[in-house]
Amino acid sequence: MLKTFSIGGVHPHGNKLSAGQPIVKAEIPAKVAILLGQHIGAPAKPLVAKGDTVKVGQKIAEPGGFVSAAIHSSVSGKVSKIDTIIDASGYPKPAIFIDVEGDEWEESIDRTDTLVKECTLAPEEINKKVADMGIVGLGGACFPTQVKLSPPPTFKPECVVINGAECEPYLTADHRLMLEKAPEIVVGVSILMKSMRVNKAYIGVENNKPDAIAALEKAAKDFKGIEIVPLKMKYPQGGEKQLIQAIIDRYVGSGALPISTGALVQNVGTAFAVYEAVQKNKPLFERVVTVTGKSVKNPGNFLARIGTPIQQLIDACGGLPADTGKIISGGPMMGKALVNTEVPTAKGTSGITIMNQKDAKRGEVQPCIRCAKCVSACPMGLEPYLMAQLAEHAEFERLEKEDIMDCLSCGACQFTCPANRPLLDYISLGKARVGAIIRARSAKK
Amino acid sequence: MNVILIAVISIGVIALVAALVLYVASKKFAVYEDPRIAKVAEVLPQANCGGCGYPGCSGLASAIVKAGSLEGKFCPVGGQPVMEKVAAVMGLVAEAKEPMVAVVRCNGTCANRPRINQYDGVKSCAIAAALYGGETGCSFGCLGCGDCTRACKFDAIHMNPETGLPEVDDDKCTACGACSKACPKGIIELRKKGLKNRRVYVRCVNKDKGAITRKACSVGCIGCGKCEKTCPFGAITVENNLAYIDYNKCKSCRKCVEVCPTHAIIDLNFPPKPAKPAAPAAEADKPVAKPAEAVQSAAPVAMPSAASIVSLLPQANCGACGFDDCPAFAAAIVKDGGIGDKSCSVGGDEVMAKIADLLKNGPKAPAEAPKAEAAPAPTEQPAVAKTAAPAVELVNIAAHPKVDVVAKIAAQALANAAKHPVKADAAVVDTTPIVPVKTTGLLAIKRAAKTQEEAVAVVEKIASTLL
Amino acid sequence: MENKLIVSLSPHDHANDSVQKNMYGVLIALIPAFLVSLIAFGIGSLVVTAVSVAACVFFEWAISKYILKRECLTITDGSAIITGVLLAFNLPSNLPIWIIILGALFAIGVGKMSFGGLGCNPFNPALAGRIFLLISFPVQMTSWPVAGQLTSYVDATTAATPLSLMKQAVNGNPGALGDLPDALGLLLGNNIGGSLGEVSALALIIGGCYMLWKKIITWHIPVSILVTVFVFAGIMYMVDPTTYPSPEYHLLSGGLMLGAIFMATDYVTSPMNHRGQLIYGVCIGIITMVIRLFGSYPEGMSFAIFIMNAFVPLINTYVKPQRFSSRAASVKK
Repeated sequence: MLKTFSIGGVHPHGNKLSAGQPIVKAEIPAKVAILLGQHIGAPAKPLVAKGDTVKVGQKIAEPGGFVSAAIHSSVSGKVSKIDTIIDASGYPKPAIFIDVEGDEWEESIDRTDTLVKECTLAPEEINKKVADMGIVGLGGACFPTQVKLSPPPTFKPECVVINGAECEPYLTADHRLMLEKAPEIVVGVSILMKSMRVNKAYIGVENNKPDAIAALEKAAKDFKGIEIVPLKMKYPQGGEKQLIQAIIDRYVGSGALPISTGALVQNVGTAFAVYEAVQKNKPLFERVVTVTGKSVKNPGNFLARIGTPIQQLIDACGGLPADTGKIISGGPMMGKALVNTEVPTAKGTSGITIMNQKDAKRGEVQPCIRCAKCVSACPMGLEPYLMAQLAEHAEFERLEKEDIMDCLSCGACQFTCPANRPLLDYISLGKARVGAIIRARSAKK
Repeated sequence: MNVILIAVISIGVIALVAALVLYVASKKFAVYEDPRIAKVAEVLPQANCGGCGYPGCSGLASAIVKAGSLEGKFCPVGGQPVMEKVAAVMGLVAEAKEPMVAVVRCNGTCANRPRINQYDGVKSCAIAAALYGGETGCSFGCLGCGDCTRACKFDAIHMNPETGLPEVDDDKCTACGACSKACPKGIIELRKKGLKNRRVYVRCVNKDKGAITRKACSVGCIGCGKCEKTCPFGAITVENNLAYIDYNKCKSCRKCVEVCPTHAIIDLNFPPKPAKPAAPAAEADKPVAKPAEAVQSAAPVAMPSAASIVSLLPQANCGACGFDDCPAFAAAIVKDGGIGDKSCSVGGDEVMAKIADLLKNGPKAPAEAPKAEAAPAPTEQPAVAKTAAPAVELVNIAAHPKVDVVAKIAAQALANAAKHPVKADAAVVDTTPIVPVKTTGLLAIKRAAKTQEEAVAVVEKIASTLL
Repeated sequence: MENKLIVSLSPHDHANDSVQKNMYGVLIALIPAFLVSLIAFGIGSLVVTAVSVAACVFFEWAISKYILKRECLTITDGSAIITGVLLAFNLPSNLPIWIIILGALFAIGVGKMSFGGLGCNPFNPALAGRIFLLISFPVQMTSWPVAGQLTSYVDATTAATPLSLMKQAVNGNPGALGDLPDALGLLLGNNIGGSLGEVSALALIIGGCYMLWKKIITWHIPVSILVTVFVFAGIMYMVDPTTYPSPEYHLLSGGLMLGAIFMATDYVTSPMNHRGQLIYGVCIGIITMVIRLFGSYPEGMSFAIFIMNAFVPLINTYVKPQRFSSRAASVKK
């Protein structure tokens, strides 16, 4: 019996069109726009100004607060301006624009491919290295990793859980990474275990990736305490709370941190980035991005430098299809629709999914038929039909009582709804307003 | 018979007992309320809209009676007449207050502001605003989903399907503020209704730089500052590339409406102005004279090179004109074969006049360019404005060893002048640097002085105090 | 690229489920029962079903257009057709046409449209129509034709149904139990009298399995109703086997199967989470048995469902699904 989470879940089509495509290095663009807000928390503060020359891997922005991350240049060249550009949020955000000249790397980075298994650093030093190298969670949320690796002392970490589920349809970046870089990932996991002072780790992988599971199992043989856990294919298996419940059968409470269950969760891409940071002195400035879609000529997985305009990656796949309806940063379930192709890739860009006109158009909205399929689909045991109705009528106090802040915004409810009701549109509004009310209340105290 | 009697007596007794219970209850459980609250609530309009800021009309009545005064309380639905009635009930005097109205500060119609993507989702501005900046290139403008129209309880605001913007019905609007609160972009503002419903306001909330705004919307405010300079009453401030008219200072003279290059300022409900005389007046000092018109009516001369035009420009490269920098501005003039409606807010009318001159009469000796010294050579025409529009001239103090100090002292001079009444023949020096002093070393001086020599003298005086 | 990019909030994918798919799925599930009713009642079944469906669809369209003055979005999604079919399955095959039309008018007009149309009605419309007809035309509604009359319609021969026999037994004539057909006969529907849809429990169960497979309904409501009825009837049988028949008779006769599988599982009028659905089913089972055994009507299913429909909003408010986060406290570390 494959492990899985017990409440809710849906089964979208996998559409893993690019699963067989090995990772290729994307061409270095002529200009990059490196956003200053690529992570949760305060935007980074630029350390360079117009006209400065930078090298690959050079720190160009420092953390803007405790919950923040450093940013490193992904190219070598000259800073042309510090201006705003529209990013995945749909609004213009500040970014450092660099005109690329050559590909000169910082000397401290180890560019060789040899596997470095031993890590001689102490846990605090690991944490500092991770912070210095600008590592953030690469699963999409981009939480600064050094903050996650230093939880409040009231929590006792017991194990590390690595998220290799990749439950979003279309995306295959993590799959290819696990297949091609399994030994490095496993070393990264062992470094994370050392940093958290635990001796048990689980890597959860959905069973639609048997080759990745085999590769990881082979690599993990040399390490004590690392177990590969195949998981049933169900969305949203990759959600932190669902992953913890499936693997170690513990539930995260309302408003509580996942570390309260004793598990530290990191994406498999983050584990790889930690390996490169600690063992190869390589900061986070490039990552694997899947570019895919039913009408895309050659879907593929690219190792792209941060700040590359997505138009370039789309061109590398055969260009933008004529019937394009939506361009999504991420997958179709939780990804953000982009307004143009000038948007630069950021640390959290795991994929670009191109949907054709037919798939992109939402169906006609019909009245709610009270079928309760949304309730069955919700992985948090909430009632989406009720939350959407209350948000529409601005009943925010009652919404808070319905535990709306537990909502993951995974979209399983709207995916399932036979009447095509825009449940998540209303629920997102409700979450934003209730969140503001809660913050105002705690600020008053 | 007996049956009827028993029935009547028993029901009568029950009725009596019930009445007694009710009487005792009404006396014992009575809640005392100041009788004035009910009287005040009676004269209020009973709309229960919350426009006064209190929960319903009875809420306002209780608040007024509890406070014992009308200070800070106003019923926008009933307006002045109702407040006077309330004052009569309370035995107070109602203060006069100007009627307000909701104003939609966006003119990004489908024609002015082309759509560049399609929004698919719930037609709610709050939800769309959380998702992204909108279907157009302007991320500040109206999203067109109509949250404001749904918030209005007085049927006073409706979406116009042709323009995609909300329109306020002046007669029905009570300035309760519901639409303003509902708008997630802050586009709707409550402003004074104005005499005869006439008002002037900037119909834009875009804070992007001029070039970006221009690209997204043909009637957006580019922050060039022409209106700020033109306004004789100091009612306009330009901050973050956006002009704002203070409705308390605005006297509806409409000078700003004429000078706005993008027609972002609207004069609402005014009768159409009589046509201006085509030929420019004999005096060379019209405040908003367009030298370009004179140039274009004259016989075309061979276009001077862009470089010769550039040399006349202030070299601020600030982008306020809507072009990337001064060379781009000059190139555009050459390309278009004339000034058209371009203007350099930093250089002002003087620089534009010089350019017009150049275009009309051909290149002259380069000595005409504004000198990069502390004392610029006087130009041919005294650039004194007949009306109060101050000219801007540039004085280069980059060479001065204490450039920062000069700027500070000049600013202090202004502050002092503001405190004491200005004499008729004194110069008021406003030294707010238009461009960063460090980068360009140029200090722009605005003045209301009579002659240029005076301003120059002031600056020399400031500089000399440090020597 | 010709067209502008479309921008919307996530999710951007959809399961391709639709209201239509679910409604037509229910209709497909009703086909076995319809075929059995054709075999059992012949032309009467055809007439009653056709008139009921046509009337329901017509009234939904007419009321939407002329009284509510709005476009009828739901005319093609099959919900009116289902109401028509289910109403017909609750009627005897010899019911005159004008009574059927009245029933359809009440079911759609009062039971569904007066509350606002699809999704807004608190009571099952087919049941509302059936109960209205039962109370208004008790004689016509309780003259059940005997099965096997293929060509007679209004003039069909009528006889006692199994449930009426069981009622007689309870009311003091235990010998009536001897006239009951055997359980297999009840299952298959051989020569059983009753309303159109209730004769063959097997056909209904096949339909139910189809709906479970297509994920149109979940097991919670039908199973909870049937188990409750079985237990209740079983207890009564153990107490007094002469007056009360053994529990499978209750399960297989009357409208229990039809009600448990098709009527109580109606989306709009049933609770919105599994816990609530179980409570709903148990209560329906209890009320059904109470009416069947101690009430004056032989059939209690329609009233039981109707009464519980009224409690569904209460169940929805107080019975919440299991929250993920509430399990955090209960599981020990």
